[in-house]
Amino acid sequence: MEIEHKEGRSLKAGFLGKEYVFDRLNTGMVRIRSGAGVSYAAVKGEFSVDMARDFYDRPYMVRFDLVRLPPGSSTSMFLRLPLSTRLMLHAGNKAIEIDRHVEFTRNAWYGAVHLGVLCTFVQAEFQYDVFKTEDALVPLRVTNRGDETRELSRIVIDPMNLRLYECDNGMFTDEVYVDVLSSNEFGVEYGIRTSPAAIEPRVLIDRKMSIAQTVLIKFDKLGIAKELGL
Amino acid sequence: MTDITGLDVYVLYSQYTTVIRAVLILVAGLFAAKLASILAGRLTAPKFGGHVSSVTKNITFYVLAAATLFAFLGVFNINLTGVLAAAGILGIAIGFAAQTSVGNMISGFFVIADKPFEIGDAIELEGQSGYVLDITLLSTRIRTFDNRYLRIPNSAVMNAKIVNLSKYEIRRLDLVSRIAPRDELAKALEIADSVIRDNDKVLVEPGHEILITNISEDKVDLEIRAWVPRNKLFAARTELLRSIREAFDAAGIG
Repeated sequence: MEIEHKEGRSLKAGFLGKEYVFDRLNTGMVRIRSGAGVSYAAVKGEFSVDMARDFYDRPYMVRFDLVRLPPGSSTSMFLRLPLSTRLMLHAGNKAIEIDRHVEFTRNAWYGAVHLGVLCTFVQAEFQYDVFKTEDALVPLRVTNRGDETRELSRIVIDPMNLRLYECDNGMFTDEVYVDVLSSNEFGVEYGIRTSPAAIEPRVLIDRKMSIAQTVLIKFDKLGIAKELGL
Repeated sequence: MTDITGLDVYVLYSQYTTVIRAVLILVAGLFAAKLASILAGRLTAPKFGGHVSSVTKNITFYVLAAATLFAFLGVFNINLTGVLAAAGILGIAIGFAAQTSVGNMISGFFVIADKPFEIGDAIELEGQSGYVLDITLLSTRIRTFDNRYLRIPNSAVMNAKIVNLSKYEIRRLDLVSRIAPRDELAKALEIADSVIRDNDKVLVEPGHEILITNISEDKVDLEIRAWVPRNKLFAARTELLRSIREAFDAAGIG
């Protein structure tokens, strides 16, 4: 993001191809001009503008084409979760979101149609340079503890249970462990630390759900997923 | 000038104390009834929701208020048997006069217990659709989508077919797109599939389906079934109908 100070009481910021101009009109009001029109923010004192990264609001449904796991095997990988980018106006200890960029707009439903959860849909990729991505990297370990080959084509990760770390080599989240219970049925556990590959991790966003650090999804006899906080 | 004897003073005193006792019973009884009703409302609210809580609160209050009234009358040695007999006759008379209201009231209890919808839900009922504003003992109030106020007696609600539009988060959108039999069917299916995939309101999962539902001499009907979030249903319908038509026109299908 490029920020340019203009004539003392004005500020110009470029945000993903869009241009914003912030003008201090009086002691309590800032005018925000962009291609989309004019709006106003009621803030006092000195103001500044920056960009913030955050998880999407909904859980992520990450779909693999199909992963086959031999009995008793385990695999580790980095999974990419897209992050939203927000243009924030700060004044004193207050912050106002001015704009938000969301790359992934497709949604998917996880669970039975009458009882499930709306997720952001993400198609998993395995071939990419993990340290050259703008997305958050989820250290993921998938384990098949059973005695037969099992398949996994999708998992659901709820960002409410994850911390986001800003590291010298990218953005990372807490570790996530998936136990494949049977074909396409899985339990998810959220770890309390990030990958050792993350250099100098600093917590950018803390866990938003305070009650559960570990969440297990189980299926009842009717095939309905139940999320249990442990 | 009248002489006031000791007996007169005693009678006067006892009358005053009787009145004071009666007033105290009335005030304390009504106060206790109010307190108990609030308590009953608060206890039921978390488990059964706002509406059941409100009804429980009212019933508790009126039952305790009636008991207070009987206790109040008892202080004056009023024969309650006579009052109850009169109340019974009055009750029958009121029952005949207000049987519709009583029927609605009983239906109201069933509506509350059955919970086909809750306040704030969007429903279709008797050819009308709108948001439920309130469910009282006698009627259900609805604000229709075109902003009219509708009051439906609970007896009608109980007997009506109700569609709750707010019950589930996602809905299946069914559309029919018609093409001419001379058109390339495979190409039309491919185009429709591509348009649906490109629409960000359509859910990736559950996946969409395109069915051929009718082939006749002059038309072929393609039925599209796509899942969308409930609040995007109408926007998705408009977008898909327009996009599919435009794509078919561009490909010379129609």
